[in-house]
Amino acid sequence: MADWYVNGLALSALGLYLEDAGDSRSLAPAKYPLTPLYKRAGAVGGVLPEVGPRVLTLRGKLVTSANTVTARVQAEDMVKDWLANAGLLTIELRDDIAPAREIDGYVEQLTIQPFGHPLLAVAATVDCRIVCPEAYWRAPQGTLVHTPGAWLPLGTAPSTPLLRIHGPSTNPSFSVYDLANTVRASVSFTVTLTSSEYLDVDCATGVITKVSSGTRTNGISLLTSGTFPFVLDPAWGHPYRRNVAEGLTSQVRYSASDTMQLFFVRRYA
Amino acid sequence: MTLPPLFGSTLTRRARSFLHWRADRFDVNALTGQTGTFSRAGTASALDFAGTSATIVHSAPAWQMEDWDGDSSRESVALLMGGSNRLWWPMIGSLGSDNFTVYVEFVERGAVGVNSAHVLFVGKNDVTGAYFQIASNTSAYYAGFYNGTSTVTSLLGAAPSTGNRVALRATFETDGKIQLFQSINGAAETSATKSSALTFSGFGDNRLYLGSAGDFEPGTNAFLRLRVSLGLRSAAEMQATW
Repeated sequence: MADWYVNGLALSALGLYLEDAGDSRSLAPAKYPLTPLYKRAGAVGGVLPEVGPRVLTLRGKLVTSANTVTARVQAEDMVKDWLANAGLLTIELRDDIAPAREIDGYVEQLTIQPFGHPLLAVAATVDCRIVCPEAYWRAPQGTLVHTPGAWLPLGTAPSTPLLRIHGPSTNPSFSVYDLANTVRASVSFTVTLTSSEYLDVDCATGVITKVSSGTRTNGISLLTSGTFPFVLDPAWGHPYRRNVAEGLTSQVRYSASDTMQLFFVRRYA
Repeated sequence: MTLPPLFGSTLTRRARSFLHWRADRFDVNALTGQTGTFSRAGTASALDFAGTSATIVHSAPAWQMEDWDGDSSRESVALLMGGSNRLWWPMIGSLGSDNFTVYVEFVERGAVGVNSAHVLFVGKNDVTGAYFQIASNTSAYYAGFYNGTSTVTSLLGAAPSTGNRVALRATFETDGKIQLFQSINGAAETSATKSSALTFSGFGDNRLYLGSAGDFEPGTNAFLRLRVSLGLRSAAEMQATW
């Protein structure tokens, strides 16, 4: 049984009970660019697809415990206020058979149609179209991994990490491997960090920051080699299901030269 | 005739909370825009999802994975406070000129057993002038309001144990009445007796400290979420409000 939440509030608390969640279980649409071949049949396929945006179409019935026309009209206002006035929404899907996941989106269209005689219409049909700029769902909670270790527990879609390298450390490095033991992402730095310094390598913003006793400076020049920014791709790892609560995960092997913290949010396709 | 605004609003998250901070964003800045000021004089020790400890360097927030749903799996991110950790946000506007509610979720890590260990404090860094606070008297948590002359309190009847999941909700009314509520491990809230009224004429400073009283009296706990909303709000509203 799936429960839908918007900005932390169950839709059922608004009186909205979903009957159909559209493409919420589907993959976000992916499109590979194709280039026609001159005077020949066929086309050359691109390598990188354009993924998303994801569109959620939520359909359901709006009913109230009072079961009156007045209560229905008030509930309609509540639904419109909660869905349309909050700007960018966080839509969360919780159920008892898979890990909870959430995604940000905005309401593109909200259709409310009372049914029955106008004087007796105590319920309404609601049709809500939500556009999610990001293609992938994410876990509501982030994951924190301390190195040294061996495996990163990912979801089913790529995650963008923040790597925090703690001092004392000299010329630290970090690498991620695929199942063939090939390095798929790595970063190496030429720097000596004291015990009161750390280096933030933020792959979401593409910014590297050196922090010395709380003072932040640009650290991009410390990057000696590697692939920055990088993602953590579950396709490099070994998928397995440890338990129902955790769902399908992919363990990706990594190595780190020093004490580091890796922050990321598991993503789901 | 009323003309519509010139431009539609941009696509951003519009908060309905005064302040909303979540540890799981790995950021001391609030989702509602307030910049968090964090400091720690020395190193700290924190645990990751597997329970592996690491030494966290000077000035770096000590994020720690905690179990928030009672399944013995460390699935939730928390910020470990106490010791020399300090974190505060500026409260935009004059907090207290209207009723307000604070709601804080944390894993108990020992503050409740230490006299004057703080969960939350609204006031000045040197604790001069009026303030509002949630702290411990070693038997339980209490909410307190000091207006520069007198104090009123609202003391809970029970204390959480170490490792318990705690949600504290405190209400502040413009006439100075305060009340504290507590939920442990997801159970229904229990309430402390609401205090008597006490004249309010502003706090010593509009800073909100998490885990200390200004520069003093830290409390060791692992904080997951903090919300401040205007009005007297229920727990359900504070859990849902953005």
